[in-house]
Amino acid sequence: MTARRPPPRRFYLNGIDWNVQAMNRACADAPGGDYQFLIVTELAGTPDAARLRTCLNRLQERFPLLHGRLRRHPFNLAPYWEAPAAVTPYDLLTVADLSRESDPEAAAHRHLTARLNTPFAPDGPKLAALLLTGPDRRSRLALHFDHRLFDAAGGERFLTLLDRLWNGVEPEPERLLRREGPWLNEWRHQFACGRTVNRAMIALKKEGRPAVPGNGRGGAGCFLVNRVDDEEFAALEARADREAGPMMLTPFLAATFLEALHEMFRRRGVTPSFCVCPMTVNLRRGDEDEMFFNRWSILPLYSVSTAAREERIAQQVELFFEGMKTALPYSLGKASLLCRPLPLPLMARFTARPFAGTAGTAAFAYLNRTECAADRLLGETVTGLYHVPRVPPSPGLGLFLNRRGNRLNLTLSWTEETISDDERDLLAAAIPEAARGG
Amino acid sequence: MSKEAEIESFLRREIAAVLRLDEAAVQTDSSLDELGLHSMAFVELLILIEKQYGVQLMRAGLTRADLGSIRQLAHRIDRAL
Repeated sequence: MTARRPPPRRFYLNGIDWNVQAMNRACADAPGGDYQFLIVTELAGTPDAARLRTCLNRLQERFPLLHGRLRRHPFNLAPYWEAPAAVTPYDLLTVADLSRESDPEAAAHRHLTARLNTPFAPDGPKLAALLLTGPDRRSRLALHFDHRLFDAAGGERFLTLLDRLWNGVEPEPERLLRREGPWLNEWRHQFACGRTVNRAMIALKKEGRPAVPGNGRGGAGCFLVNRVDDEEFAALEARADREAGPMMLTPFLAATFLEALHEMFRRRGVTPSFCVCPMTVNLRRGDEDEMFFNRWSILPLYSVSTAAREERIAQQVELFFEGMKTALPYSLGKASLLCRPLPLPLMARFTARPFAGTAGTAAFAYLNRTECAADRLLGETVTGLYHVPRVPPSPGLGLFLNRRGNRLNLTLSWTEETISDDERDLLAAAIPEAARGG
Repeated sequence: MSKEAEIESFLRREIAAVLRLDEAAVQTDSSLDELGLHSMAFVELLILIEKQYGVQLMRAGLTRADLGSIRQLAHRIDRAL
């Protein structure tokens, strides 16, 4: 008989986790809260709040790292997340009834915006939940995640775990917790990855200095959600096939967003300019169970304003190929391991300026593979699911897409005063308009 | 084994690896779309095909119809060789 291993209490941070800690620091230093995100699930019915509270309490007991904090090893300086030995669960759930609101949609948006701008208490759990009930039997469940502990795919996995617990299936923390780290070997490999990243940055600097939308000071997080339905999505795919090549939907979407960014700067009178979108790439493998921390990286996509639409699309496809051939996203994650001895305030300044002295023009992400694909959640039919990330002060703007079935959700996120209302409408409508042939 | 069958076998193995699926779940009549292949994974696959066979499929006029199944894609590669 083999003895069961005790659950780990020390979780070493990988290179991207360390970048995320720095981005969290940059957010916390500016008005508006932490580096965090919401996953909003729209449900046809309303789950029982008391039962949901019990499940959330149970998950806090099973995963004490939700109440953890950042530490650094005294000798090798490797940063890690330390979980307490045991926790007393907090009440994580807030319930708000929208059924008596004159405009329930506007009220829901207000509640979600307030939640997006609420920082986590330093010594409290790094997770919260908001249940918005009504009108009728409908509801919305917003899970509020700290990016230091969860990435977008991890957040969806957590939602699945919550649903399994709701249905009586106990979680198995041993399978879901990180046991890798502290990555204090393979120095030559890490430096080789650093060289790959450096070459990409030098190539980018040759284009000039990218246009930046805001002043980088940060502010309250704002968002707008737009949708592309089944029919429009089919049209979008067909158009991407024609203009970018088969299976080249992501470069097509990026090119469309870049086009809208150039148009925004043109209207501001800032031409010619070069725009760069650090695109998030999910590095999670389908057969990996690990749920916590960050398993993604960045692929920088860019274009100059003078490029015609066809050139812009072809360039994104080319950048995709080049990025994958040189394993740039992987290299960026590995090379970031070398930055871990830096003090966090210095690292925060470093992560705000990787692309020719800026953090880029706007973040861009497309979550193609849904980790939480179930039609039902907490006993209710899921009618929609979208992500609402808070963007760091620099660049202060981002477009985040997630595909669910054959529908596409688009969340434009920005810090207040970064863009005007007209610019918001321009950026949010670019992809839906492309789907309609615009 | 014919060249086309050899390419099919290569594609099944590599698609399973790229998508982290069990190879048994990847059949020669499986549609690449249904298997969940997306832009990033597809680019990974194209790079592997280029390394193995020296064929740049995107520059050889690849169409959506060629991705209807692994068999069709293998046929397309075989024609380009």
